[in-house]
Amino acid sequence: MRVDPVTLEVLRNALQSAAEEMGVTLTRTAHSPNIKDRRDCSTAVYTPAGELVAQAEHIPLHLGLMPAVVKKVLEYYPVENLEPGDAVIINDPYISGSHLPDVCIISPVFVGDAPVAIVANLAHHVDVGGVAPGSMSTTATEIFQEGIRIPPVKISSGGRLNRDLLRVLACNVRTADEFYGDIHAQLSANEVGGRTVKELAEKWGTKTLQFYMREIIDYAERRFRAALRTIPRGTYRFSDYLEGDGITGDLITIAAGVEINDVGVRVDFTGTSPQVKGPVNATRGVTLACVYFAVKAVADPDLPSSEGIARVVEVITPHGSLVNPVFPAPVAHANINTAQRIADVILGALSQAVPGRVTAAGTGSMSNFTIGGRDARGRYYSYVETYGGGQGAKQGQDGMDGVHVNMTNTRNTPVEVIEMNYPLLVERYGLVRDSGGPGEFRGGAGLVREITLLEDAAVSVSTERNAVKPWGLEGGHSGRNSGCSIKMPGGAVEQATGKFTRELPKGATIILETAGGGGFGSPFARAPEAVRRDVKNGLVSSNAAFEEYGVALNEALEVVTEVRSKKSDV
Amino acid sequence: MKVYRLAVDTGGTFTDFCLLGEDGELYITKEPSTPDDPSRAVLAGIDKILRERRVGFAQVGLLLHGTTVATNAILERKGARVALVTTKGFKDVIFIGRQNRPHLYNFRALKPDPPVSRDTVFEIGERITADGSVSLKPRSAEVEAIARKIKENGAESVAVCLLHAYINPAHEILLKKALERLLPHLFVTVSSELLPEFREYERTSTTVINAAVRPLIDGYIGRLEAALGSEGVGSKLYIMQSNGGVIATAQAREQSARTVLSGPAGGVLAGLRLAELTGYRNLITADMGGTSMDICLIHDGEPRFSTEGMIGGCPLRLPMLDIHTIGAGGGSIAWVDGGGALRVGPESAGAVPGPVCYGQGGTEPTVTDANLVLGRLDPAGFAGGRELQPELAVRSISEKIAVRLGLTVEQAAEGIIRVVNAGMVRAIRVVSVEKGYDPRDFTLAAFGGAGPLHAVELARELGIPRVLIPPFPGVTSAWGMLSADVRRDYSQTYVADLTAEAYAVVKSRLAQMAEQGIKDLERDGFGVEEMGFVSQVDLRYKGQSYELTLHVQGGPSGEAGVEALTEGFHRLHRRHYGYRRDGATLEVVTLRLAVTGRLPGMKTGTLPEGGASSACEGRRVYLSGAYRVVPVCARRQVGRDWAVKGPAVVSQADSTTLIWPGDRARCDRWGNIIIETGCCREG
Repeated sequence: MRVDPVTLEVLRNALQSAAEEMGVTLTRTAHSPNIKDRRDCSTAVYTPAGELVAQAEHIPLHLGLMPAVVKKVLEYYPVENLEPGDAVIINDPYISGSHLPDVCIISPVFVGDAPVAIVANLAHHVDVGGVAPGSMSTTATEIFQEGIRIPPVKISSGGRLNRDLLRVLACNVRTADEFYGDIHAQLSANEVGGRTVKELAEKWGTKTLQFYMREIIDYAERRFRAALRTIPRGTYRFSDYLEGDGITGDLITIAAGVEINDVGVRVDFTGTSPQVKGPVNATRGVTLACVYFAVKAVADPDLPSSEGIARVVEVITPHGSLVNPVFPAPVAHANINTAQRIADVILGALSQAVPGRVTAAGTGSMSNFTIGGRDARGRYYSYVETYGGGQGAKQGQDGMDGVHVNMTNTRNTPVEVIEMNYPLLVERYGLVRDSGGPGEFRGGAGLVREITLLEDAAVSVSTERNAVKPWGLEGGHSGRNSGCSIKMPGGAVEQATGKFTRELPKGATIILETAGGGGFGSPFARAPEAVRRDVKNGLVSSNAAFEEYGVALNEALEVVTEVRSKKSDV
Repeated sequence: MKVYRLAVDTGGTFTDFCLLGEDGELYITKEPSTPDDPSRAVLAGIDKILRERRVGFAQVGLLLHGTTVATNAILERKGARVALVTTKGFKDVIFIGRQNRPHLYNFRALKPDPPVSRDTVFEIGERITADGSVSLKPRSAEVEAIARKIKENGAESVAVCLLHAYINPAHEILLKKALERLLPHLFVTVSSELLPEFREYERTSTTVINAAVRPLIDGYIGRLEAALGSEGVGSKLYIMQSNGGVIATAQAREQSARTVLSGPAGGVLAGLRLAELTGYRNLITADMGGTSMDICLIHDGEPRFSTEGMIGGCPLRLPMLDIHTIGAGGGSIAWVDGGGALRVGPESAGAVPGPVCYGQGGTEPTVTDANLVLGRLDPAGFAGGRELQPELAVRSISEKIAVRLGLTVEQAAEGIIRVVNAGMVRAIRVVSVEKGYDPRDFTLAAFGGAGPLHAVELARELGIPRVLIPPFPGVTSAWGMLSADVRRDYSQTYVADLTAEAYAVVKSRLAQMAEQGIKDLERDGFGVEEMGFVSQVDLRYKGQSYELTLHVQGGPSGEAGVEALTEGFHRLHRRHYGYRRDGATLEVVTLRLAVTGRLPGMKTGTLPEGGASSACEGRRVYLSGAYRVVPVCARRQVGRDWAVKGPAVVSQADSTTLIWPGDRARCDRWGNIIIETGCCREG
C-alpha cells in the first residue's frame, strides 16, 4: 500500500478524536476529584501489537507511561489469547507505571475475530490503600506501605465484570464508592474509544486502518528526527539536586548526559544517586516521561504523542538508581518533586546545545500543601493543593509569573472555594516581589499563599528549591528559593523547612512561598524600560533594580542612572 | 405606512444589512467595514439600503445591531485604561489566573495579559467572610486615598471586585457610591452587580473586561445615536448580546461586556428561526467564513448556553450561546510539515493579503485556492464581483504542496479540502458526540461564505442525513438578528444542600430576581404581558466542581418540588455524563433568571408557487479524483419547485453550494436549499 499524505492526516485526526472522546468520557464520569477536576488521566489508542498511535494527555507525566504499559501487559496476555469484551487492569509500578494510584485499564478492539487495535486509559485514583489517606505517604520506606499492588489481571472477561476481583480491590481502599465509580468510568471510556475505532475499521477497511496506524507512528518518528536535526550533534552533561527523600535532608544527585547523534537522542543517567529510602524514587516510566517532555518541548512542542517518540529517544537508567529503583523501593512522591528535577536536568543539558530554545530552571516542585482535620461541626476534611511558581526565563521572553511548570499543569483552588469548604482563612494569595531571577529576561515570580487555621489541624508541606535555587542561563541569575514560615497564635514566627508534617493550633498562620524562575542573560543587558516597568508594577523593588540590574530610578520612577558593569565599579 | 426592521452586523471584512418589511419582504446589502470607526460603514449602509428601497427613516421600527467594538478592543488590547480595586492581599488574583499554562509543551505560549496593569490595581483593607459576615469594614480615609491614586494614574474606568461580594455586596456598593462621588467623570463597574457569582478570578476578569470596554461602547453608541437621532431611529436601537438576545442602549453602555462574545450569536438565531420554520428542530449550525468556523448545536429547537466563555484567553462568565469556534476557513493556509503530512491552518491568510488567487500578494496556498483549482468556485463571480486568478492558485499549490508530496495539482487541492474537512468534522463531534448527541439525528445548516461549499462532505462524514442552505448564506448572521428579542440575565450564587428549606429560599430569591427583571424591562418599555421568564438553577452532586443547569419554572414546592428537581438532575446528568448517582446529596450553586421582552412578531417571506429553474450551464469540476462536467445554476433562479440530482453547483454573489453525486436537492417555500445526502444512488 502506498502512503497517501492526505489519508494519513485525515485518519490521524480521526484517531486523535477517538482518544479525546475517551478522555471526555473519563473526566465526565469519574468520581475522584483527581480525575474529574485536576484531569490527572490519559487515554490512548494502540496497534494490536501495543504500539501507541494517538494519545490525549492532560498532564505531561503520562507521556512516558502510556507508550510502555500496553506492551508490558501483552507479555502477560498475548493479544491472540484475548477476546472481545476483555479488559486488563494494572497499577504495579514495577511492571509498568509511576505510582500505585495511577490505575490503567486496557481493552482490545475486535472486528469479527480479529483484533484491530487496543485502547487504554490511565487515571489517578484518590486512594489505593496504604498507610496514609490518599496513598501518598511522605515517609514510606517500602512500596507495601503505599497501597495495594495490582499485577496485570483481567477485570472483565468476554464482557463479564470480574466482581470477585473488584470486591478484593475495593476492600483494600479507603474510598470504595469512588473506586467503583472510577473503574466504571475507565471501562466506559474504553468502550467509547473501542466503538469509534471499530467504526473507522468498518469504514476504511481493517487493512487500511492498520496500515495507517503504523504509518502515523512512522510519521511522528520522521517528524521528530527532522526536528532533532536542528540541534547540534554532541554530548551535553548536566546535574542537579533533590533536597532529601523525606526521611533525611541529604542532597540527592540527578545527573545525565544527553547525546544528540545522527539517529536521535541518547540519554544516560549514569552518575545519578542510588535509590533512596524515602518515596521519591522515580520508576523508569516516570523518568521516560520527563525525558520525552523535555526533548519534545525543545524540538517540536506540537508533535503528536505516539510510539514514534520512543523510537527516537534511547534512555539508559542504571538499575537500582533514583531514576530506575529496584523493588520494593517506595515511589509515590516521585511525581511531585523528582519528576520536576529530572526534566530540569535534561533541559539544563540541552541548554548547552540550543540555549535559545530552553528555559532557565523554573519553580522546580509541584509544592504540595495539605491541611487536614475536623471542622467546627466535627466533620473530617482534607485540603490538598499543588502550587505553581515562576517559570524560567528564555531567549527573548520573561518567564511567566505564578504558573505550573514541567510535568504538571493542574489548576489552583479559588480562595472563595477554599473558605467555603474548609475551616481556613486565606490572608494573602499573590506573587512574590524580587523572586524572579534577574536577567536580560527575568525569571517568573513565585507564589505566596498565607492561610490561617480556624481549627486545630495537621499541616503537611512538600516543596523543593529551598536550598538549591533555580538556576539561570547565559549569565542570568537564579530565582529566589522557596520558603515556609509559621506565625503562631501568640505572634511568634518560626521558620520551617521545605518538607514537614506537624500538628498546628487554631489561629496559626502558614506562609508558603514557592521559588521564582531563573533569569536568562545578564541582568545588565536588560532594557532599562523593562526594569522600570517591573518596578512600577511592583514585581521588582527599586533596591533590586539598582543592585541587580544597575538601574537607578527616582521617585517618579524615571531612570536616572544606568550602571552597566560589575557592581564593584559603582 | 409599512413598517420595517433593520439588522446590521459588523464583520471583519463586510458589514451586512438586512431590511425586513412587515409583509415579509427582505432586502440585503453589504458595505466594506471601516475598522478604525465601525460606525462609518454602519451609517453608510443604513443610508444606502433605505435610499435604494425608498424607505423613510421613520418607517424603521427596530434597528438591531451586532457590533465587534468591544470584542476587538479586548482582542487587540485597546481597551480603556482600567483601575481595579480589590481586597487587601489579593491584587494578584487577576494575574495568577488558575496558575495553569496555556500549552503543555510550548514554553513560549504565555498566559494572557489581563486588560489591567498591576500598577493600577489597588488593595483596600476590608473583609467579608464566606458566610457573608463582615470581619473588617473599609475605612473612608483609605477609600479617599485610593480615589486620589486612581485620578493620578489617569484611569478612564474603574472595576471593583472584593472577596465574597457575591454573598454580601455591601462593601462594593459603598465603594461604588464613594468612587462615583469622588470621581464623577469615571465609569465604575462592581462585580456584585455584573456577576454575583463565586470564584474570584473569573468574576474579577469579567468585571475588568466590562470596565475596559465600557468607555468605548459608550462612545460608539453615542456616535451612532447622535447620527441616527437626527434621523429618528436612535431610540429604536438595540444591541446584540452574547446570549442571543438584544439589550437597549442604556444597558449596553453599563454592562458592555455582554456584547463581547456576540459575534457568532446571529448565526445561532438564524438556526433557531430556520428550525422553527422548517420543522427540523435538531440542527447543527456551521458558519464558515474566511478565518474561522462557528458551530452550535440546537436540540429540539433549543440552543445550549454556556457560562464558560473566554475572550483573548481571559474568562468572561456572562451567559452566552454555547458556540464552538475553530480556526478553519477559506483563508486557512495549507502546508507540508517536517514529517511529510499535509496540514491546513491554523495560520490564515486573512483578508489581506488573502488567498493567492486574490492576486493581492498572497503566496501561501489556502482552502479557497484549492476550491478554485478544483472548479468548485467560479473565478468570475466571487464575493461581490472580485475576479479570481486560478493560474496563481495552481502555481502556488503545485510548488508548495503537489511537488513536495508527489501529487498532481488536483490531488493536492482535493487533499487540502479533505484535511480542512477532517478538522471541521472533529469540531462538530465536539459539540455533538462529546455532549451525548448523535449527529445522525440532526440537520446541518451551513452558511457563511464558505460553509455551503463544504457542508455535504462534512455531513456525509458524520452520517448527517440532511443539509440546509439558507437563501443568503453570506448574510445569514444579520438575518438571524432580525428575530432577536430583548433579554436580560440575572444570576446569584447560593450554595446549599438541596432540601425543602433550601428550595423555598431558591423560589423566593428567584421571585425577587423576577421583580427586578420586571422593573428593568418596564423601563425598557415592555408590559408584563410581553415578557417571558426562564428560571433556572445550577446543581451538582455534592463534591463535584462542575454544575448542570435545570429549569425550575412553576412546579410544586416543598418536598415534591425537591423530588422533581432531583429526578430531573439525575436524568440530565445521565444524558451528559453517562450515569446517575441515586441517593447522592445534591447541591444548589447558582440561581439564574432570564427575562425576555418580546419584540413584535416577524414574518418570513415565501417564494411564489412554481418557478422551477431554467437550464443551467456546465462547468468542469473535479470530484472524487476526476473532472466531470457539472451543471452550475444561479441561486436567484432557484424557484420553489426546483429540484436537482447531484452533482450540481449553485452559485450566488457571496457563496457557492456544492451538491455531490448521489445527493438530491430541492428548494423549500422559504427559499432554503435542502440536500438529502447520499439518499439515492446516481441514476
